[in-house]
Amino acid sequence: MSGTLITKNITAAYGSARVLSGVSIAAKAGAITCILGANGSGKTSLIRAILGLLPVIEGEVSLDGEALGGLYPHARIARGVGCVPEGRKLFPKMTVEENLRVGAYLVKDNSIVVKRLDKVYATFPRLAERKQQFTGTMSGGEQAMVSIGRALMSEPRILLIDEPSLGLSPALVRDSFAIIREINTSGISVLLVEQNVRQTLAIADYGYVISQGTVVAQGTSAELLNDEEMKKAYFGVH
Amino acid sequence: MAILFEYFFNGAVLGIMYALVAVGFTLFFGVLDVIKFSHGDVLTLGAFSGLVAFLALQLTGLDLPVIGLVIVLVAACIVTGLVGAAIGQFFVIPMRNSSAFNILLMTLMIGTAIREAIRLFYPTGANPKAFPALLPNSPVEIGGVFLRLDSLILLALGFAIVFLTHWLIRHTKLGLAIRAVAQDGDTAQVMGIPFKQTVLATFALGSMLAGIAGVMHGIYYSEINFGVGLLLGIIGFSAAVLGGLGSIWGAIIGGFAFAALQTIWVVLFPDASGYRDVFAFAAIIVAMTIFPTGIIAERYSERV
Repeated sequence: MSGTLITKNITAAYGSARVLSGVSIAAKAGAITCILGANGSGKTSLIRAILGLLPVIEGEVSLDGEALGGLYPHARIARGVGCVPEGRKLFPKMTVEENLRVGAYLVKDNSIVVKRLDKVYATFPRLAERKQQFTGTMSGGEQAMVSIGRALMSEPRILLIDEPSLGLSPALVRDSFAIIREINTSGISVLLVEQNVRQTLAIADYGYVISQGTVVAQGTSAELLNDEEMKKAYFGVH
Repeated sequence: MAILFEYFFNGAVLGIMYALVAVGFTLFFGVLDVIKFSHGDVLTLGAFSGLVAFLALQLTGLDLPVIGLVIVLVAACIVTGLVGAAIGQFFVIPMRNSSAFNILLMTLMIGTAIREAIRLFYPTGANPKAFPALLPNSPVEIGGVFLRLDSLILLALGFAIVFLTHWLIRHTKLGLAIRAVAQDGDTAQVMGIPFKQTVLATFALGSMLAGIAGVMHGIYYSEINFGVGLLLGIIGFSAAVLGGLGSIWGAIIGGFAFAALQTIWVVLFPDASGYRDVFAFAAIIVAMTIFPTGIIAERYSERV
């Protein structure tokens, strides 16, 4: 089983504003690992650093032992990292199918792309009906499907999912989490970034809590779920 | 009536040339949000490269009309494509996080350097140069109107290039990458699209269109000079802004709109035809106050 993503002591900054200081996490192969934290705690910065969008000043990122540091984002995707960005970030003026094809941009052989398209359409039959629709005109739930489908098109070893619940109704959030679990069951490791503590810990195997750019707690879901102090301090859940 | 049709036809030939230049501006703005003011002088460079290629071809003694045009166009495209990509690689991309004014000023200076280099290094570069008649310019009669055959071919060539560009952007993998980068650069990268290569390819593509426009302009007026790109660059930029920067169809419409304005002036005041640019630019100023975001506002258009 592959798909182990490790960050070692990552420090990153926007200009002089330090957003991550010495963050070390391990997303184990085949598991769902979650990063919890309030708004502005550095969760999205961590994802951006892993993807190569935010330059890392210090520390290392590696996937299955291979260092990703210094690589362009597209080269990291080529090595097996997949991404469902925060807010889904679809290309609104492209059709569903074009969005999915962008996800498989690094695949040279069109027959493989077509196979993967069929696979995504089988997972999300609703998208098959709307292949030619511009994604900018779709509902939030449908956009979430496109964003997940697009990430699957590169057949990643590990999928980084940033706030899938953002802007979705409770029912759609439940659906999204069920899909994430399914993806994980199919053999893809998942690194899930969320604010939604209970639902996230319900599907995650292991979690980290980030605050002000550092890891302040970690443990199995059961451990974190019972960590009342942690919950009070960072999420105000009683 | 016949004379009006002739004016209309000549306006269309100019319009397609302006459109080609404007599409370049719109492509650069689309992928990187930059205004590349060296674009007009890259066009001049294309026209001169075509001329040099023609002179070299003459030295070999080959004189095949169709091949001549193809070689001139290919030479112009190679030089402008390489120079356009080089400007992107060495100047625009390293500066992409600085202020838009810096990039504007920098590309303006690069354009000036190119223009002056042509003037100084091309033999007697300050004088206009005769551009070879690469197309037969015999008159053809269409319904009682006499048109120049070369202009007809230029118009058809221009439309073919525009449609080819549109097809490339809409239906090829490179086009998919260009559109993805234009809509959201960061997300395009994390989907596996190589950002820098895509931007450079876009710069090369847009610059080739200017090179083609430069050759067309040379054939149409039978001469070129080192400063031809200055006015064409400003016209192309105006056309792109008028059409709504970022939209390809907007740029094309803008190009034809500018030529239409010039033509209207010439039709109304044939004795004062020298003022056609004054009128056209004044009309653009008025149009910008009415449509501040261009005819096709980005909200309604597909970016690139």
